[in-house]
Amino acid sequence: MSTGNRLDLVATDWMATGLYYRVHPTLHPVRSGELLSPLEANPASTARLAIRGDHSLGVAPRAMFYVATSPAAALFEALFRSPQMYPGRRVVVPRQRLQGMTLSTVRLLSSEPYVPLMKPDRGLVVHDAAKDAAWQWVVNTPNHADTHAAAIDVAVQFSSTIGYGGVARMLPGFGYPSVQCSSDSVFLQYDPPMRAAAWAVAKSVNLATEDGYRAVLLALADAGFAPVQQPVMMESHDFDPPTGAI
Amino acid sequence: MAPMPSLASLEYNPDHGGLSYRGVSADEVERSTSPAAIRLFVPDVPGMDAGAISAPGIHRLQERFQHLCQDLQAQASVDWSVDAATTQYLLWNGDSPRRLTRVRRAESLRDLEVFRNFLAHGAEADELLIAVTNAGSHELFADLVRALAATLFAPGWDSAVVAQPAVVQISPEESARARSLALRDELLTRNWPTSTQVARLLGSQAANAAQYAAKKRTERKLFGVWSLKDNTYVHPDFQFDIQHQLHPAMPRLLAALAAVPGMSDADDQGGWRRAFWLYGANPLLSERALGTGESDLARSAADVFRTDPEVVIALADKEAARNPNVDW
Repeated sequence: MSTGNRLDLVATDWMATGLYYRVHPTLHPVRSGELLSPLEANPASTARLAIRGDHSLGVAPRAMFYVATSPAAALFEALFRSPQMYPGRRVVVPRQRLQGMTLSTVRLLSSEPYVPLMKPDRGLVVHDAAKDAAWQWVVNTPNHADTHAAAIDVAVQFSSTIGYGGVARMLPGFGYPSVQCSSDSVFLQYDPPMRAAAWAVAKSVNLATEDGYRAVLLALADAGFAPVQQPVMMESHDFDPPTGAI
Repeated sequence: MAPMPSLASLEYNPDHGGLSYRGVSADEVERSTSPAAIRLFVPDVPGMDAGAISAPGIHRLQERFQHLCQDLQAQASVDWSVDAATTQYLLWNGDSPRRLTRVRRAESLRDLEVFRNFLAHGAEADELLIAVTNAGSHELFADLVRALAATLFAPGWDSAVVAQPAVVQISPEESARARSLALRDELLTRNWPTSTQVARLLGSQAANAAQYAAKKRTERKLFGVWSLKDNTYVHPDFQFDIQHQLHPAMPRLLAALAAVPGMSDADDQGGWRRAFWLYGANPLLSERALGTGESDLARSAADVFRTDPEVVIALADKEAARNPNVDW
């Protein structure tokens, strides 16, 4: 059971139109052999602020659509969530995680609303210091399951508010700072009420290909990281012993 | 945060038999290299892409290196020596070298910060930064400089460099691979015990220590990584207690890691994927993430394992059971 109002004001800001980035499976997880549309939301997501539903509170599960303002932020959010980091912003790229995944560039054609959790915009919806600290934890914790209760609380808070036309409002989504790329943001749109027509696909790269691997390396480098190749066997025996060695 | 400067670097590593030019960010400067290597840096064109170095950067490196040779001859009293686990950073400012800091790897983070702040705010266009890795003595450093000079100004170097385009681009794949090798070498400087040493530490009387250790590894009681330079397995220190005995939770940890995609014994014969996983800082192991304290500082599995092996094993289990369909 969740508790209390997480927001001091039920309000939203508007996402800027333009390019965003998201990571998603290449193939549809359910419909065998079918390519997944880069604009499809994920009903199975358990990522940050996912709404898994709570019958006791009357909150139904929603599908999640995550995008980020940089390719690196998208990669960290969906693929390298707990990266192995070394001093000098070195990050080990576990290449097997790229298998079956795609990085897509998508364009937002018309502004969509979101609850801002990045600073200073968070001040629009949170004034209380204790609530602010709680949100700071929510947007930073690497344990995403611990954030789901907060999302449900806000969904309940929205649904108890009457919007235009006299109908209850529906939480549209959140925006929050990327943990690893502090100058970038991640946006989550819930489906419903996400409008797929507000988005268009610009391009996609299959991360399992050489082009995809290069795209990952360049994205990380652009964000100020020093990507480290995961050790590869049989590569001049730099990392593995010759046959018979003990 | 102020943007870190782009630097042109020259690295000479006798183990690998040559020198390389590349562009580096200031963040990369403290990247350790193999023992007995020296690296030189001069500020380069700001905003260069990762791995890129400008032709003027190359020529400035060569020019400044000649000055360094002259200075070395003139100032034999400068203490170039460092001990085996230390990287020494020096600034050559046109008059004489002065020491910026010496960094004992992974221990002097404050010193590294001082150095990085210097790079961010203090580097001037004509300054040459010299990183000395495991030079060990003035004589060895002088030998390295002579060997570097022989390579740098060998017949054909001029045409080889001039023939390059204005910007020499190292591919992102090459850069990532170079960092991987460097990280391997960095971890190897921790002087992890060899099979012979492990057998002795564990009190084995076996005639063949290598076979004794190999059997322990096969039984998943002992974790080893292949050291190319030593031509033997060495054994990361996190698995030993202060009495040098193997941690009793090692078999469960190794079994858990073997279930992580790409980290099975067959996929990771040299052990380095697992070593990178064990020694990298992971936010899921911070005190706050574990509910054991207030610190958000990411910690490595190797650091946490001795005191809380169950947490590390659980993390490996979680990694093995990871469902990519729920993370996006």
